[in-house]
Amino acid sequence: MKLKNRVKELRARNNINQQDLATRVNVSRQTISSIEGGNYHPSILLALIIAKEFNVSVNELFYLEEDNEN
Amino acid sequence: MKTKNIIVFILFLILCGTIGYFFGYYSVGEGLNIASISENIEKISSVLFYGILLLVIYQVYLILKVNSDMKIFNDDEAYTRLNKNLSSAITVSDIIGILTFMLFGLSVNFEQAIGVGIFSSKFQLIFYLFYLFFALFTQVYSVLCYKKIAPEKKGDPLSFSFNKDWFESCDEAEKIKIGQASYESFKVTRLVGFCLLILSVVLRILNKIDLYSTLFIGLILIVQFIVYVLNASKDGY
Repeated sequence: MKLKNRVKELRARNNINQQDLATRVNVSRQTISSIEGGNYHPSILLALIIAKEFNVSVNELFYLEEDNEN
Repeated sequence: MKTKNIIVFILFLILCGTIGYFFGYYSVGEGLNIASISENIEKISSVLFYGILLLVIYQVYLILKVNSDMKIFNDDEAYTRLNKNLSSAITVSDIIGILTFMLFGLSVNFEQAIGVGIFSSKFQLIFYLFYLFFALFTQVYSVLCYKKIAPEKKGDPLSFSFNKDWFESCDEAEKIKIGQASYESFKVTRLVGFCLLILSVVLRILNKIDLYSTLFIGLILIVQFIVYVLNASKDGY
């Protein structure tokens, strides 16, 4: 199972760029880029902070996807 | 521990010992002719000199690309490219600095000129200084560019506490990445260090190098290991 997220989708919906979101949640722009690309799974704390920023629950922001093999 | 792993390890030790025995027998007993570094100092120095020059040209190319992307770094693609080029520029400047010191150490006691024409011995010192200052300038410039695209980063590149300040300003993802990269560096340096230690002992037996090389390599390995263990065992780990 893989961890997926809707950070990019919510960011576009709220018309926020990567740098703005990074500043609001106190991380680097590179980290936001890595999260969106699936290259980094944030800590629970960071996931909660990002979810709060978009006014959604963590479950709406991050979800598990079954592997194609299964 | 698995029995299979123990057997494989013992066989590996026996193989290394056997190779070492035959190598030692033939090199010392039969007089293995390995050229010493001092006999090839001109060749090595020339390779280093022109190698550094190529790196300098590549660094200029990287800096020009960085300058071009700095104007549009708000674009996500340009930002990713810029990040990569800045990392490369910082790495290349470090390598130029280290190689220049090596070149200076190799050639400082020798009167032979490196290369021809304007690269003759009279201008060697100028080129060493140029390489060093170029490396320093490009490194400081790259760090300042990085701070411009990532304003949350702290640390003055000319300050002695730069590494500490920079690390403290990193977020959770960057600290994890630094940790992973450091551990990979530790593993590889340890392997390469042990190989160089063995090589230096062999060359010392053949009287091709002095004792200092073995001592310095051993010292680096010991310092590396102690620092790693002390930090890894903090906070009860």
